[in-house]
Amino acid sequence: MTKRKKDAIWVVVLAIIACLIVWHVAYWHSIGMYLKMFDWIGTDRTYVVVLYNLGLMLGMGSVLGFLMGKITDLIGYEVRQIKHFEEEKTDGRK
Amino acid sequence: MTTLSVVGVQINILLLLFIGLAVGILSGFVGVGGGYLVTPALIILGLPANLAVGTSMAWIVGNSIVGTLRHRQMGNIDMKLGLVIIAGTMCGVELGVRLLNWTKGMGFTDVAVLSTLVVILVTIGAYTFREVQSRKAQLDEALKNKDKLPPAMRLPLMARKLQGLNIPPVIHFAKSKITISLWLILAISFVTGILAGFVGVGGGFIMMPSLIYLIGLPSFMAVGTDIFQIIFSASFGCIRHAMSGNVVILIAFIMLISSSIGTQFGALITQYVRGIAMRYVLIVSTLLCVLGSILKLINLLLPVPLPWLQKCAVGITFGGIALVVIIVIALFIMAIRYRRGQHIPAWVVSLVAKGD
Repeated sequence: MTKRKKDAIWVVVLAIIACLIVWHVAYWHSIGMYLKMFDWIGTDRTYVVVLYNLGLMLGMGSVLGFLMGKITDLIGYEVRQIKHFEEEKTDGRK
Repeated sequence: MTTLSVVGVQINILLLLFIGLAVGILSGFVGVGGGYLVTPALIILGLPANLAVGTSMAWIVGNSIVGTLRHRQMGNIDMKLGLVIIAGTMCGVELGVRLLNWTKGMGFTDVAVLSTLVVILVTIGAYTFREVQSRKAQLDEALKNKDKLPPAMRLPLMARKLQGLNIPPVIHFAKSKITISLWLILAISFVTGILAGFVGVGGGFIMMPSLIYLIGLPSFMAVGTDIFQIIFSASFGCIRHAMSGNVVILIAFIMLISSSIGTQFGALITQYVRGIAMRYVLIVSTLLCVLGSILKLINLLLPVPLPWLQKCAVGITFGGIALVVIIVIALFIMAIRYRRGQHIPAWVVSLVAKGD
C-alpha cells in the first residue's frame, strides 16, 4: 500500500472519529443532558464533569491535530524543520 | 439555523467559527494561548463572564494540543525545557491565584489586576520593540551589502548574563542549545506563573518574552515550547472551572474546529518568515492587549462608567483580532512573492525567510 493511500485511510478514520465526537456533544446539548451534568457540580459526581470536559478537549484536540497533520501529508505539503540557529541569516538578495 | 441557544443566550455559530479561526492563526504564529481575545469576545457575544472564562480555558486546552502537534513536527519544541518550565509555572500560578484572592479580600481586585497587567505589558512591549528595531536595522544594513551575511542572532544580554551564572545543577538543553542553571529556569517560570495567575489572562505575553530574552530561546522555539506548556497550565485552569460549572463544551468545540485550521496556518507561516517578524506581531498583539486594559481601567476608576468607552474596548478587541490576522496573512503573501523572485517592499525583505 502506498503512503498516499495510508494517509487517505488515516484522514477518513480520524475525520469519522472527529465527527462522532462532535455529534455526541451536539446531541447531548440538544437533549439537555449537558445541563443535567451541571446539577452534579458540588455533589460527589463533580469529578465526572471535570473528566468529561477535560477528556473531550484533550481527545478532540489530539484527533484534530493528527487529522490536520495527515491532511497536510495527503495533499503533499512538505513540512520542514526550522533551522533555528540560522534564522537571522540573509541569502544575499536585495 | 446558525444560532445556538446556551443558558438562554442566542450565539451566532458563524461568529464563533470566525473567532476560532482568527485567534487560531494568531496562536499558531505567535505562541500565545489566545484567552485574552476569546474571553472578551465571548462576553461580547452575550455569554456570562464566568462561562466565558471557563469556556475559553477549555478551548485553549484543545487548541494548544493542535498547535503542539504541528510545532513538534517543525522542530519548534524543546520538551525537556518545557517540562521544567511547567513545574515552575504551575507553582507560580497557584501563588498568583492566592494573591488574587487576597486582593479580592482587600476589595481592589480589578484595579490591582489591570494596573499590574498594563505596567508589565508596557515594560515588555517597550523592551521588545527596542530590541526588534535594533535587530531590523542590523538586518536591513546587511541586506544592502549582498556578499556580507550578518552574524547569527546574538543571545540577548540578559540571557547571556543568566546563562553565565553557575548555580548547580546546571543543565544542558541540547534541542535549544542552551546551558543554564535549573534554579534560574524554575525561578523565571515561577515569577512568570505568579504574574499569569494574578492577571488571569495574557500569560503568553509574559512567557514568550521571558523565553526569548531571559532564557535565550530562538523565537520560533519559544513559540512551540510556550504552546506546549500552555496545554498543562490551561488544563489546570479547565479543571478548576469545570468544577465550578463554568465550561460550555459545545461553544469550545465549535471554536476548536475552526481554530484547528487557523492554528495550522499560523504555525506553517513560521516557515516563511524570520523570528523578527513574529516578534513584531507579538508587539502589535501586546499593544492591543494594553489598549483594551487601559480603557477598562479608566472605566473602573471613573465614578460612572462611560458606555462609549466600553464600546471602544469592544472595537479594539474585534478590530485587533482582524488587524493581527491581516498582518500575518500579508507577511505570508510577501514571503511567497519573495521566494518567487517577485517584487516586495524593501522594508519587508528583512522580515521574510529565504526558501531552501
